[in-house]
Amino acid sequence: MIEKIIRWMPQLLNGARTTIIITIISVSIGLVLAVFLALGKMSRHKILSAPCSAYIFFFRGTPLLMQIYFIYFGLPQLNPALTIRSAFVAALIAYVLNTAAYLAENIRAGIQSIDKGQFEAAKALGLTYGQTMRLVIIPQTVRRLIPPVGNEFIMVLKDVSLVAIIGLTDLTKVTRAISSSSATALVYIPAMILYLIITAFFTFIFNKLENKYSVYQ
Amino acid sequence: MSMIRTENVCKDFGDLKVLKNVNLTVEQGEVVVIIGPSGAGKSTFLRSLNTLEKITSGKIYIEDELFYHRENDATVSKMEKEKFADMLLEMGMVFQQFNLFPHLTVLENVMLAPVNVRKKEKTEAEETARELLEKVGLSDKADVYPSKLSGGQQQRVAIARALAMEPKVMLFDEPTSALDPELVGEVLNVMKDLANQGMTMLCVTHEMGFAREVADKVIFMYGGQILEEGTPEEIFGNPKTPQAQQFLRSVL
Amino acid sequence: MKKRILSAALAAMMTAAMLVGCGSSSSSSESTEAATQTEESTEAETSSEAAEESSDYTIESGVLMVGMEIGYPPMEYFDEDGATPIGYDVEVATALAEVLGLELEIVDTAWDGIFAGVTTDKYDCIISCVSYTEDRDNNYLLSSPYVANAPVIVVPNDSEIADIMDLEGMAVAVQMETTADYLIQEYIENGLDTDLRQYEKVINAFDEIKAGRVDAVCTDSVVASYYLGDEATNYKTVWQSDEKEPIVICMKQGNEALAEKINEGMAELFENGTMAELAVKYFGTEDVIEGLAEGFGVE
Repeated sequence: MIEKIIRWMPQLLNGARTTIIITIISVSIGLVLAVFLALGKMSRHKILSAPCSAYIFFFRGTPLLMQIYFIYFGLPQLNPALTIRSAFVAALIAYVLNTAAYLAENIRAGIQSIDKGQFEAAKALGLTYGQTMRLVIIPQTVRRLIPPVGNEFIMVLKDVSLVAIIGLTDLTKVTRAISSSSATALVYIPAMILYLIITAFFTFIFNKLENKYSVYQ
Repeated sequence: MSMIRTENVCKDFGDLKVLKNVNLTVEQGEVVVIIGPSGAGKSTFLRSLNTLEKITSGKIYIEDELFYHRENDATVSKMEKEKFADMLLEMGMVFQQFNLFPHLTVLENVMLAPVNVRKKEKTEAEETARELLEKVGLSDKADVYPSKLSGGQQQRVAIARALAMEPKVMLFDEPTSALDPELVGEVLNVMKDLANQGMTMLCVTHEMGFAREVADKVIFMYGGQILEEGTPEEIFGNPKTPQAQQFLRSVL
Repeated sequence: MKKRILSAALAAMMTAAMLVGCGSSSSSSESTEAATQTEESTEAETSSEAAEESSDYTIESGVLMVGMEIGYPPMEYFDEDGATPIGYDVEVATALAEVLGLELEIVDTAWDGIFAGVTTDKYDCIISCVSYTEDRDNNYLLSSPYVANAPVIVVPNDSEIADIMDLEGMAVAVQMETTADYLIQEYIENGLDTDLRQYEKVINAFDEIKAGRVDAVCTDSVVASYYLGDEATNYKTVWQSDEKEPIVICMKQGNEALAEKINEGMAELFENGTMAELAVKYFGTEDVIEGLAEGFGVE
């Protein structure tokens, strides 16, 4: 049994690497996009808030599976110019767009949970809207956002298993392939343990971050 | 030249008239204290001066120049953009809930606006900040986070923060109402010092002792209107209206 | 009414079996399941009016349950309504069930779990363009072939690829866990440097070649002929494996009773011309079933 697991390990680790890389890149870029989406949705100008709301509605309202499939297979059929050559890039695009929508709502909630007095003090001191956001509000929301972002990260880590439909090899796909070719479901055990290890590692990191930012609480 | 002058300032919240034709003049160097029961519109009036509240109609003059003029809930005219922004900076505000920035140290709180708004050099801003912290008696707390300070200490930092912008007039919105009684004194002392140094101050407060000691003029507001106006001796010693009499009876 | 009682009873027993079987070895939960089903079929037997034959060769009495991966034209795929299965295998299964006097129930199953399904009695057999391989022969009970097939390579018309070795340095798409997939993997192990892309459905492989993301598709000849039917102007088949992989019906190992019945049924379909008819309908020629009738005992 152990030798089997040792034999499977290199492939499993390869798959895990793909899973982790896609997760990290997607959540990082998605987070940046989410900030703009959140601010846009909260804007008083309809020309900003309407598209942002629509975007968030669309990407939270349709299954991630469909989004991935459509971006990779659907777009070329709409217009050949929309063909994304690399499945990896297509996956990143799908996950970034999807994650951004969910995180935008978390960020919006975080900002709106900041006491109004903070905005007023900033205004009384003469800070512009941009400065207020950048120097006063967003730094405070960071602390509040660590749990939801950590949560989203852990979820995306698992959701990355959907990339199999566009031919990418993540940890889950590797597991299924090994299971099928070796006619044994036992490979799922080391695979699940790998997922647990990865999850535990990132949970640990997010906890550390949370502690670091509560210094001033 | 008056520092602040308001003409017929009104504010409606739907059918509710929160401010009714408030006319007030604050001279340079004057310390004006506004008292009255809650709901009288005191804070609303104060906050409309630095546009934290939007009035329905009325005129506001700063240093005898028209700051802004509104009618029917719309702006009729106001100072041109840059001047308007500059004028806002001339008014510093201290809030009931302090509103310090929790993610910044005391020193950073005081330095933030001078660096980012007045575009001061960091070293210069730091020097000024430390001086101000010394003035309010908190030099040793410069690198501490607000959450570690008592209410009184936080409010003193807030005062220093507002002063760092070198305003011409300081607006105090019930600065000690959220403080435990034993901490009120340290804040009032700072305010007294400020008054003695000639700062123009407009304070909404329930601290009658402070008013009696420091105010040049006391305003009694009731139901959105200024009912009485006079020196502390006049108002406290000889209130003319029944509302003022009743109010003073209940607080003194 | 009886069906609802049966379903409720089955559900309750399954739940109990899951709760009890959790943690215990797989064989014990399988026997619980088998026991449940025998109970159920006995019940059905005594109360059913129709089936006169004993139900010892199908899981559910009177019904031939067939596992298929619906999404593999022209063998089994969904009609335009997105719900009705059509295709060569569907028609073969329908005809087979009819001559056996059984109802047909198609169980749409993802390809990468389809073999496990026949072993765990999710269905009686798999009629889903299952290619014959020695491996599968060792683990399952395979029928005689009912249509000829071999892996082929499909490329765009203007492609210079003419042989499987020309895939060197190129990208080729396959449906994962098909014999085409294993074939390419074998060549890779033996030194062919090609980029193998695996997809869940065969149509995705063809999407890829259309989008220009791969240079070739490796798939079953029966599937290729279907696509080339529509896209003959754009694509061509350039290579066919020497190793024929005829299509067989796959049953659980040891299920001799069912195998016998299916052989009888298929023999009849060859004899009465149904197979010839279907071959022409789907492939335009009887060549694909040439010589296969003998495997079922037909002269």
